[in-house]
Amino acid sequence: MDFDKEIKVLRFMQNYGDQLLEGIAAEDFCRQPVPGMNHPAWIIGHLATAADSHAGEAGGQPELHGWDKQFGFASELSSDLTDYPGKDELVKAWHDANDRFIDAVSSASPEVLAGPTRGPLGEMLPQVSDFLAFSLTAHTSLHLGQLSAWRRAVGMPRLF
Amino acid sequence: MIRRILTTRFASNLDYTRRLIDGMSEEHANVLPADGMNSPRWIVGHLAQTADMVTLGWVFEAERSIDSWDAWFNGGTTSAALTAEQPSLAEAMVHLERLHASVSERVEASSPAWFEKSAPGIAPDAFRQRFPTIGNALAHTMLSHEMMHLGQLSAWRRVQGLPAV
Repeated sequence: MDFDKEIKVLRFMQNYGDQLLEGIAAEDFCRQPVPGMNHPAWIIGHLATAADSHAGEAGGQPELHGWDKQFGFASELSSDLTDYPGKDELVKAWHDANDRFIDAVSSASPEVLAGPTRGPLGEMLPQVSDFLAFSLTAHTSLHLGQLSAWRRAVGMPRLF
Repeated sequence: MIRRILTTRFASNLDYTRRLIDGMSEEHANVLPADGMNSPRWIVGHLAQTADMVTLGWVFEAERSIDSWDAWFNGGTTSAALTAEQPSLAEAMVHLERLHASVSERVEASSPAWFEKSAPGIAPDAFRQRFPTIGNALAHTMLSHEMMHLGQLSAWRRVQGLPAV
């Protein structure tokens, strides 16, 4: 199964995310301009954790063990910078996890792709191939939209 | 494969949009919690305008139906500039539903080979260079572009104290 176009979307969005991250100071990574807003540390950590986990769904080997507690779905945010890895570490972890995810998707066997999606998303995305297409094209975009809104809320200029 | 992914994910985006704005009043849809954030009305209007101008106009070379919306919802326009004269959230949603259906019908009627062609010449050069094939262009305009703006809407809901969807 060819995921070439979906992989290009992920790469495109990673590049967009890098542009969004430019100019965000490491000291501001836990800033919440409005209560309830996801901050950059959580968003980038969450994207790294998700890509790492989704690589596992495609038959790859996850490496970010233990990150799910801090960055998993519905995890609690902290406003303390020392509770999180630094900006550079988070960004590198996200990029590396995307690389592992893309490698895993590119080499996934037909049997893995035809298998059932585990967890609550299985109802909407019944096969692993459905889940991977969602992750490659939608999940990263959704959270980068939150990062875009965060930038606007702290007074940073729009990119486009 | 590409047709199935495009149409199923595109339909999911629309369903997610419906749930994000479910029960939202027109007044609430214009609230800007912080300067520069996009309002729900602008976001839904922008998704409809993009489906009309970019997906249908540039990629499918179809006749446009809401080109007057470019002045209010194209990239670079702002939520703060919208007045009562411009399309409401409800009107924008009606057009988004209609344009989604039109795009999906065209995708399903296209041959797999068509998605490997270059984007038509009507599209700006920068767009054609960024998305070398029609499939690349549609994967962005139908999927990631929409979801990125729905992420903005998700963030807007959170700062309004609304529950997660």
